[in-house]
Amino acid sequence: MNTNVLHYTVIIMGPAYGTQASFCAYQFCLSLLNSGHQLQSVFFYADGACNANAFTYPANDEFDIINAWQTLAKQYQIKLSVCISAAQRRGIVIGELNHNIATGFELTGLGELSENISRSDRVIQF
Amino acid sequence: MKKIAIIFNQAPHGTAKGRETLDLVLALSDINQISVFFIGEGVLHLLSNQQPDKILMRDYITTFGMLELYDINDIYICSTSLAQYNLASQQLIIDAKAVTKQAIAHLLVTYDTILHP
Repeated sequence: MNTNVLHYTVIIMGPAYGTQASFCAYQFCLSLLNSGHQLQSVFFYADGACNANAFTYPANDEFDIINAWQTLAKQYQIKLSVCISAAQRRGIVIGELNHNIATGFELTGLGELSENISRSDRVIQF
Repeated sequence: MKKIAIIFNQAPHGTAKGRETLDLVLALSDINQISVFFIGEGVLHLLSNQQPDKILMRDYITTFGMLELYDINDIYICSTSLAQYNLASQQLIIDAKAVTKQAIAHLLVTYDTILHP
């Protein structure tokens, strides 16, 4: 049993496709949760906001990172926070007419990241 | 509150990294203690007389002048990188402490968190 539980904040700055950042972050999050550590939220900033685009359709033989994040969030009750200004600049929006934010992701501000970091034992950026 | 080092290590304007890193600096300073480091190509952020409007980019460079208002006073710039670009401290838009690569390495270990684009 792990007696030394650490609270983590994970920040993702790479998009869902084109860099390895989000994939590495996902594997890291799985590992830390399996080791008994705490992860309250994952924060998507800059190009990382692209992970929240519901219109992302990877081919059948590719790993679906967006679906993986959604499943992880559900299973471990983790908040998937996305910086609202980073998201809007990249065309990821919540609106009455247009809506393409993937289920399970929440638009929020950098203020939340600031608070998360201040309360965490470890902060890891991908 | 955490002691956070935020590093600019890429040139301005070619990507959105510099602008979004500056937003991060200002936003995280609300409840954390922020230090800013300019290393490598990142030192070019502080060059005066930039005209990003000519390449249709927003002038976020002037916003570096806000750092003082946000009580961010620990601003370090790599003297080795300045020398590589043949730049003098007088050409910079804000006061930054010029420190060697080695000094930066020693400083960075004193932070709780290091973030970079």
